Formats: sequence, C-alpha cells, structure tokens
Amino acid sequence: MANDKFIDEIAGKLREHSSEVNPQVWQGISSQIGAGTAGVVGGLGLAKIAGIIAVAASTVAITYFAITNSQEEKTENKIETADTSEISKEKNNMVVSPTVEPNVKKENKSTNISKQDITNKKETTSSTQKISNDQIVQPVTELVTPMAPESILSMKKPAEFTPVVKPQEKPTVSESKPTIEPIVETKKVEEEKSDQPLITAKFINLPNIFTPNGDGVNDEFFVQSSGMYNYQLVVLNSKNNVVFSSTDPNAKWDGRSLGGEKVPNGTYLYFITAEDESGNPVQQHKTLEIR
Amino acid sequence: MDRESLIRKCIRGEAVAQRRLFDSLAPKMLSICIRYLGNKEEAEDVCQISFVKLFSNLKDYNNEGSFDGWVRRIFVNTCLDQLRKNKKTKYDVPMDDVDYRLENNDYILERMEAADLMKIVEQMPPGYRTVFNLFAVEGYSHREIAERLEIAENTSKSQFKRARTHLMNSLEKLQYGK
Repeated sequence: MANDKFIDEIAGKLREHSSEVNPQVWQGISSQIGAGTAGVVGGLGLAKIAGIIAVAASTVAITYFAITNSQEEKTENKIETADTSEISKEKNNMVVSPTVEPNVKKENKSTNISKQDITNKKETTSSTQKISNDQIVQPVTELVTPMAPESILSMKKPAEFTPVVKPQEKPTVSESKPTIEPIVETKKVEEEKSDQPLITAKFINLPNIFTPNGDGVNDEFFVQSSGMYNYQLVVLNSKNNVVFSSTDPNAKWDGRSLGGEKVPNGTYLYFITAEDESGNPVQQHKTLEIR
Repeated sequence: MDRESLIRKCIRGEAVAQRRLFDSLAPKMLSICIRYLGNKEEAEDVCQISFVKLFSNLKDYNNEGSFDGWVRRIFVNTCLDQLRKNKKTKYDVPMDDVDYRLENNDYILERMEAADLMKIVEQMPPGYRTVFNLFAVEGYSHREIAERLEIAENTSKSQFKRARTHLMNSLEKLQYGK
C-alpha cells in the first residue's frame, strides 16, 4: 500500500523528533526523587553503621568495606575508578566518623568512670590510712578536704585525656565533610556556568507570533533583551526579503514593511546579531508568525 | 558509559546518573508528550510526572525487552491518563489557545520538516491525534487501542483514517505531498 509509506514516513520522522527541554522539568523531577534517594542513602548509611558496630573491630571492617566497594566499582567501570574509589572512601569516612565518635565517647566515659573509681579508691585507701594513723574525729574534716581537690583533679584528668583522642577523630570528620561539599559545589558551578552566558547578554522574550490587526492585543513585535551591544534585528519574509530591520534593542515593529504597507499574514523569520559586554557575538534566530 | 550500568546507578540513587539518563531521554520523551497532549506546557508537566514514575519504578525494569520500549510505554500511558482527565474538563479547545500552541518552536532550521509535522499533529483534534499516535507512531494495533481507550475497534480505525486525511490536507497546505 502506497498510502502506508506516507504514514510510515511521517511516523518515522515523528518518532525521531526531539524537543528542547526546559531545565525546570529536571528541577521538578529531582526535587521529587531527591527526597526518596536521600532516604535510601540514609538507610544504607544506618545499615552500614549497624553492621560495623556489630563487627566491633571498626577499623578492620572499614578496610574490608573499602576493598569490597572499590572492587565493585572497578568491575562496573574501569574509567571512573578514581572517582568511585574516592566516593567509596568518602562513604567510608562518613561511616567512620559517626561510629568512632560514640565508641570513643563511651571509652572516654568508661575511662572517666574507671579513673574516678581509681581516685575514689585512692581516696578511700588514703582515708583509711589516715583513719588508721589518726584519731576518729579529725580525719572526718580531713576526708572532706582531700575529696574536693581530688574530685577536681578527676574532672581535669578526662579533660586532659579527651584532647588526646579527639585529634584522631577530628581529622576524619573534617576530611569527610569537605569531600562531600565539593560535590554539591561543583554541581552548582555547572548550573551557573550554563546560565552565565545568559546573564551577561540575554533575551528575556523572543516572541514567535503577533497579530498586527489593530485590536490592541499583541499588535507589535518586539524582542526583550538585556546587555546587548551592536544590536541588529532583521525580519525576513518567506522569499528572504527584508521586511523590517532595526539596530535599537527596544524597537517595536507594527507589521508594516519598509514601504509602509501591512505585510501579508504568514511565517517570517527573524535574525538577531549582537555582542555582549565583552564583545562575544550573540546570535539568535526564530520563526515569526503573523496573523 | 553503557545503559545497563547507568540504570544500575540510577536505581542506587546516584544523582549524576539520574541526570544523565534524564538528559539522554528527555528530548524525545518530551516530543511524545507534546504529540499526545498538543501543547508544551501540559506536555512538560506530564513529562515530569512520567520521569518521576520512571525513576521510582526503575528497579522493576528487569531487562526484558528494550529499555526504550519500556520507557516509551510509561510516557504513553501517562499521556493517555492525562488525556482521560482532560476529557472531562476541556475536550474542546478554545480558539484563543490556538495561537499559543505555536509557542516554543525554537528549533533549528534543519529540523523544520519534522517540526512542521509535530505542529500539525499538535493541532489535530485530540480524538484522532491519540489514535494516530498510538497506531502509526507507537505501533499499537487497533485492538490494543480499542482496549486501552475503551472504544470500539472500528472507531479506532475510522479515527485513524480521519487523522490520515487531516494530515494529508495539512501537508498539502504546506506543499509537501507533491
């Protein structure tokens, strides 16, 4: 059937047609799927932490994770091994820092307690010694006074002790945090980069249709732009003849040709050439429908 | 990077991979939505809904059949759902809307031909447009269309014939069908 060829040809073209995608579409999608993925990542993180706590020997577990992760990544794609291994390291760091902290704190607490216990024991032993040495009434007052300085000491001791541990954990925290942030920043930079040429010299509105019929609605054609220098606008008709041109970025066209008569309805094409502040050429063209 | 590993990364929720998949699919998928819905604003909304569906159901894609086909089906189904919703509220398009349908046609000149076809399809009445898209472009059978749209099989056939005539007339106006 010859008829089907006609349809097939059209269908083929339509199937291959692609449209320009408004960046807002992705923003909408990422905002909706972003929450879900964050939850998944959080869940995974918790699971990993739980796993490591269960293993207890955290450092061994981390090295194991790093090896397995990097191996997985390597098998997936060899090109990105550097990046992914970094990511896996980051992940591990992220995992490490929360797990180490509680453990260390617990250790601190336990050491504190043990130290306090020891000091208490010392006190008791000293007091008992004193009791044995001295009489009954006087030691009571003596007991109170040594208790106070020693308790202060016991407070000081953990304070001296913790800084020794903290420097070990802090670097991991400070390492992991900057490694996460650059990822976010680079994304922003990429987005900004794509926007930047628009900021210096940009078209605010490029109309594709207007109706110069004198009804007061959309009677004039004008391009809204900002930051344009050496601006030139040319409107061509379907025979490639110039029907309108201007060097004023704020020029408005009422749909009359250079001779002054109204141009017929139909499809026209306009070209804009200009330069931005730093002299880079800006070019734009678009079809214009007149009804 | 090949599709398979990209998909796996998307399932894992890696934002960069999701973005890459979106970038590779979005232009064509948006065209599908425009073809069914007839205007870009609505098509963008449906495209967004479809992508959210796609990403949340990606783990269910089990490598059976082509990935493109699977993706297309999501988009076509979402479009049909949207059309059914519209049927109740705005089946008839007010004349004022017609002007705005031509918006956003900043295609490059080489693509004029396909773009013109798109414009014609966009301006078809929604009744035949849906049948035409499903039958001619997506390759559904009349029986499948009848089931999906809850219409008679013969209605699907006659709607397609009308769509075809409409297309030919429109193309003649544009001096294509020599």
